[in-house]
Amino acid sequence: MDSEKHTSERNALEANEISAGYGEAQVLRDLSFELQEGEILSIVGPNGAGKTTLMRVLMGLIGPTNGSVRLYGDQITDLPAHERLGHGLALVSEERNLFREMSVKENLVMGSYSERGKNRGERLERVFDLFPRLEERQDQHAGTLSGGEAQMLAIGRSLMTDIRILMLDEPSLGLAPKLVPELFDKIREINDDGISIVLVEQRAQEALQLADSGCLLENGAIVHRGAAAEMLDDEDVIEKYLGGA
Amino acid sequence: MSRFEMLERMVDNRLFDTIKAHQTTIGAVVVAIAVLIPFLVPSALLFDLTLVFIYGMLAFSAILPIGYAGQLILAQGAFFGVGAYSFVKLTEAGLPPVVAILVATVFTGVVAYLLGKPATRASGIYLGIITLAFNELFVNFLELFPDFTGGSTGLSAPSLFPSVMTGMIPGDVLYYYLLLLVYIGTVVFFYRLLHSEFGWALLTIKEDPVLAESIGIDAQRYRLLSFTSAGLICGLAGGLFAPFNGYLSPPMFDLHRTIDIILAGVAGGLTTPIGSIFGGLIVVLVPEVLRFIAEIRLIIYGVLLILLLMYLPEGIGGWLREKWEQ
Amino acid sequence: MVVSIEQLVFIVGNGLIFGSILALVAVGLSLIFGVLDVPNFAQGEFASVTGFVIVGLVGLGIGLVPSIIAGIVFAFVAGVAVERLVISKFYGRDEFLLLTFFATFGITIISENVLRQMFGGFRQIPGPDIGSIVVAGTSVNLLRPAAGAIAVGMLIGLYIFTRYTYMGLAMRAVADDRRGAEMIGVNYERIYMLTFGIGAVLTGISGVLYGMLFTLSPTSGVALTAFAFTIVVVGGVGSFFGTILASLLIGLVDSFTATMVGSRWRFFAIFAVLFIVLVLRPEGLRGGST
Repeated sequence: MDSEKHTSERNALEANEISAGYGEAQVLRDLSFELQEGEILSIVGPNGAGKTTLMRVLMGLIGPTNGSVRLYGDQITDLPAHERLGHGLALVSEERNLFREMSVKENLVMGSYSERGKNRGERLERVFDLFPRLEERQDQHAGTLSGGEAQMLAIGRSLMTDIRILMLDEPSLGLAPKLVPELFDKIREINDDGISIVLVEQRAQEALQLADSGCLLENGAIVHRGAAAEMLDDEDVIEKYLGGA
Repeated sequence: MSRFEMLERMVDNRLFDTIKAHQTTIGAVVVAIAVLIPFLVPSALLFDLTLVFIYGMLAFSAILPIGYAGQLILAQGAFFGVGAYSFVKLTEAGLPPVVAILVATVFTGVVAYLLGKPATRASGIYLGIITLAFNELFVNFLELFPDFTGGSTGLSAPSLFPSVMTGMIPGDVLYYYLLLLVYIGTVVFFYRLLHSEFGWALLTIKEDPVLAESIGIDAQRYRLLSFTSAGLICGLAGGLFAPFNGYLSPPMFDLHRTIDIILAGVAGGLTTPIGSIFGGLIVVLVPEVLRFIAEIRLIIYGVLLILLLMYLPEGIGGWLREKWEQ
Repeated sequence: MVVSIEQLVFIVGNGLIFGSILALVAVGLSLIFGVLDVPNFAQGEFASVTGFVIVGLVGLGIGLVPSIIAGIVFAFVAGVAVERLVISKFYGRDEFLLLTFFATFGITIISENVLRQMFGGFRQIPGPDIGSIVVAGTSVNLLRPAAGAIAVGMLIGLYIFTRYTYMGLAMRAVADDRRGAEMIGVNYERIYMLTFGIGAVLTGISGVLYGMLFTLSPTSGVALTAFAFTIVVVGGVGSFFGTILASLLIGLVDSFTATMVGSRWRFFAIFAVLFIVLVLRPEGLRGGST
């Protein structure tokens, strides 16, 4: 372990030849990518390409059948989800997985569970600064929030600990289109605070505009990797994946 | 339709098919043993083996609603009791025993239907608790109205066979053959029923309610049908049990009996109809075998129940099917 | 049927005290069902086992207070053991509800018969003598209201625990959305284990109170389980206040039936209430309103 520790300082998160699936259905095949510290990486692709499965593997909610995951060079492939969080990795899932019967405030407080409330006041303030709506609604049940507010809460909850990498699975899903630019601005703001971001999106074009680099995922494999700006200029990519826009 | 085929495969009883393939040998041996048993075993064991057939029938009141329709019903003991007590009350009223059995069966079915009508609107643990409450209410009712039910002293039941017959062949042998035949009839009936569209519909409702609805299955109607069928089979078993046992009392139909009945279904395999005979054997014979350690018999029984659930979740029927396929 | 003031005070007082003891069993059951989805048919056994452990220890000449503490520790260990040795074997299985229901029924059979072997029939925990007062013309042993107050105190403690501590919040979070809890760093298997331990302790305490006010028998556990299931279903699964209200309601119905109709009718009355509520409102009194 020790000999491997300092091999790659610059990569915040690294997936090496990941394969995964459910039962006999293989969803991911030999998938590799790396997230550099401080950047926004967008993983885009059509529905059913395996994006959510990839997020679950990275977070440790399901195990890969093959391959490894590294966090700042450390092997974390076999760590359970609750221990990955301690290493600064957080996931906002597609379903958001809020505690619907608990208040907004309680959801946020639970966000600081893994550090048992260390710097809780400070972090709460930062979340409320970022999403003032959450402060207004802090005593409401999370189940009563609108789609946009629920997304804010899910992101806010993940910011309650000292995270270094935030993975967002389809954050724009279920949001009114006019709210999407606002959401992406917030993601940019979070990134500006020094948090590296993995953004999985179906809205490929907007996601790539926000990102530093991008990956195209199709049928469980990465079919294209590169700088986001280049991908936006690549005719082939545009035609095949960005709806010819 | 591929979904249907998948479900069909799931319960495709290859064990049954294999037995069919070797019908002549296996069938002949099993039939010969079954027919000769009354001449080979002592009377006490014959009584137990007859009871095995009753439990084998009762197992279907767990197999159908729990295994197929996914309904947690905990009133089988009470339905069994309704059938048994009705038989006694109907014969007291002058009905011939054979007719009394049929009427008791139908009456139990009606009781189940009336309970199921509101109860099947609930599901999961709620349905379990409603039916459990019904079971306890029934036992309480038996104890609280001694004038009608005999209370905790119980009631004695008349024999099914006229003395002319029992004079020629011992009664316990007659009951053995009768229940053997009724049990075989029950298995054939349920095997056909569960492998018909009715069975597929129930499984679809259990596995994928949304799909069931989208292909036009009236889930509520099927749930009520399955609930009522559980009542009917318990009623029939109860109507046969009363004359066979000759005596009825409230503790025979309490929650412990309900659990025994479901255990017969679980032990045999909730999706393998033919497994019911093994379920019956386990529920009847294991406590008998453990009789020599009288004091701690029930403790062992509890441990065995837990181990069975842990290591044989598909029951003996499911396990045999798996072995056969290898 | 005419009820005198004295009778009414007696009925209501007893009903509320019994109801608050029942609430401890029901809340334990509800907690375990909410967090683990286990319909724990052995819930009442935690009460009878704890009670009998204390009876046994006191019988060995150990003081009441250390015996009670040992009994409660035993309840916690028993709860954790049930989760680790039995329930955990069913995680991820199809038919989890059914399997755990019957497995906990198996635990009930074991516990009931072990108690029968070890203790035989009816036993009582000798409660401390804290005097008595006269209410509406009858002398009331102060132990009764004290037991009710302890039960209420425990319920308030539980409420605070689930609102203001990380462990309590984590239990609610796991009950609400297990995957969400996992993502924010909750080790849900540990929470499962603790929930069983805490649920067992709450019910164990009810066993202590029950054993002092009434008599314990090997079948007390099943009776309390039946009461608790009734309460949880009537009050609405997952509703803390619904469960407490239903406990008091059932306590009052029981007290009224025992006093005015006859104790043979107690269970009949309780199950009749349950049956009527469920037939009218299949999801419980509070169901459908949220």
